Amino acid sequence: MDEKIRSILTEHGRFPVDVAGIEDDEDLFQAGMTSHASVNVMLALEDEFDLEFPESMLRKSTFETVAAIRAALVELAAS
Amino acid sequence: MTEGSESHGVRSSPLWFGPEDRPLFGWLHVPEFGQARGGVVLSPTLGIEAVNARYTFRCLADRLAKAGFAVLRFDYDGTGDSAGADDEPGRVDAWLRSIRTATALVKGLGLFRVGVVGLRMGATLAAEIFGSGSTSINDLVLWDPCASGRTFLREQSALWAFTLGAEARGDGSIETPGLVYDKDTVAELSALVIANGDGDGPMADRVLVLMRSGRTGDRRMNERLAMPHAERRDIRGQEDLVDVHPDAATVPEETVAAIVEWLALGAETATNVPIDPDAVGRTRATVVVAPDGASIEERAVSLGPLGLFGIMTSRSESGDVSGGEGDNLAPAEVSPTILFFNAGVIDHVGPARLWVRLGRQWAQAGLQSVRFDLSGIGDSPVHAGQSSQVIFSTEGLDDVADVLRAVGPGDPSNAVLVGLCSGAFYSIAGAIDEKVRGLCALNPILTFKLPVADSNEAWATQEAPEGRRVISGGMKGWVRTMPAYDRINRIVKRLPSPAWWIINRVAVETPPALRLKKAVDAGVNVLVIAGTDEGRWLKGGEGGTLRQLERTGRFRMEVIPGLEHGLFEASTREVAVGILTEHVTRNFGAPG
Repeated sequence: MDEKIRSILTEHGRFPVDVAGIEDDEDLFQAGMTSHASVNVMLALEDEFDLEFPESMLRKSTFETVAAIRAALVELAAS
Repeated sequence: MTEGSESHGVRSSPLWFGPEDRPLFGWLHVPEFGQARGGVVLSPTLGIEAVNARYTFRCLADRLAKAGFAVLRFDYDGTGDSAGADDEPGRVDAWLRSIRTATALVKGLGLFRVGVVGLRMGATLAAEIFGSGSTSINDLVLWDPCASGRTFLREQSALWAFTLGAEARGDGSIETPGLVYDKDTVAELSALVIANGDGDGPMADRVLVLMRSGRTGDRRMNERLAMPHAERRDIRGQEDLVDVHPDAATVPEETVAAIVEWLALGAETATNVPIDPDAVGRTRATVVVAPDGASIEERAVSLGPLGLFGIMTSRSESGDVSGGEGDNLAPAEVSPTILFFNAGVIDHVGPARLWVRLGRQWAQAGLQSVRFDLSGIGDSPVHAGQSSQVIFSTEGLDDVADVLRAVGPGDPSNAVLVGLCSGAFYSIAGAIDEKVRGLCALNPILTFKLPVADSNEAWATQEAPEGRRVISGGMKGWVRTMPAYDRINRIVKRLPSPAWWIINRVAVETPPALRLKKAVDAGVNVLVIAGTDEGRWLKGGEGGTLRQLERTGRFRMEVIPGLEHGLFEASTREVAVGILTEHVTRNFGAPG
């Protein structure tokens, strides 16, 4: 899962830095991901994992770190 | 009225069309030689995406006209310069009706082919109309279509939540940048779907589907669009058009070229038909009928020697909008003319369409206004050698003087200037130079180094341009050239107010408060509305100066906690609108 998340972040996150160098708990927005890019990350994650983030998860904190994204995906998969 | 402008083989003319009591606004672009082989309607997307794409649509219209087409780009009912408001009921039907009306106008030109280009939600709306088979067209371009209104709303609300940390509104309405979709509109829009089973018509004789490279697209939409006569292509550059702040949007050249080429191929054997743009549509319109029965009238105006584009809004007691041709812009009454400035590269409709709304609202109180585009922005031309879509330009300062003279040839000072961000910058410069009656500066930027608020990542810093006229107010040159300037600048912004007093006198060319003082000293009645960050920056170290200004009775500063810099956030925007409206109508409203 982590590999897919990082691959999507690389493709859609429009980071000015190498995603491989971003720690799991490092703030992705601070690392350069814009709000617009984060929406594209969200859509790509939904495509990749065949799910839809519910309205309650459509908040900045869901996509703030690699760890937060992973936690959200795990939670959705479990439900 | 304004004459159609001609450049590079294209004549473009502003016009109102459709129902007299609910006019739509648009631009007709035709080949300069007066004949066209086909017609094209450009259906925009919605909300902030439409703001981003406005300049691209202008470029596309020009290029299609050069390729021999008559092109109508227009604003849906309740959007842009068209009549109506975004919070009225029946929005989706109104938008669908707008496309039908625009298509009927182009069909009425008697051309051999008619096509429609729909971008994002414009494509979804067009697919709804033409997929039902109720109206037939020859060519349809679905440009990065939204699979449904729901997907569009979801993306837009997520964008807003990620930008501002906004929570769901809880009443069924959805807030997106600059626009709130009420519960009914959300339901109507969500029901709009490009999917198999939702109308099985062919949509057009030829269909071009332009999908973002790397996106598979919604399965049901893909099935619906997999028609034998539909061609699907991947496009690049879409992210740089709609997935950025308006100031950073760029024209997707490859896509524009592909659309022109595809439409031209379809019209290869079509015969040219004469077009008289002066005979199409109307040059002025009644956009609102006030509660007291007065008509609020709008007309396109050409300002200054360059012919900057503007729209004048005024109250007409008689309700007669048929006469009074000509460019006599001088206000008949003593009341000043309100001038609304571009905010960044956002065109004359203003942030969140605020200039349209306020212009029409204030006209009911007897105030005449002009919302206009500086050179190179919106629908205005460029000066020789000038680039388009440049926020701060030295030409812009000259434009302000030209516009004031055009609007008030007898007394250029009889004006109130209203601007946000960069628009406030130009307003302040114009107010000082021309000693106008009033200035309303919202989140003013007085230097080329913008104070970037944390929640407002996209307002990037602007470097001072080279030009014949130096705009002062930023950090002194020796400060800007320091190796660690950006880091120092971030630290400096967090310093307490007393430290700013010293910084203003050592490192800043003209401290913000002193710039405002110049306007007040010139006799201008000044209102400043600022958010928390902007207010702190303006007040930093200059509390004494500002209190001194307030004692003159000509200066008022209101800080609205949390006011979003671009006024795209609804609740704080309404607070600002309330203060602004009260101030303007009380100080400058028509007597009696």
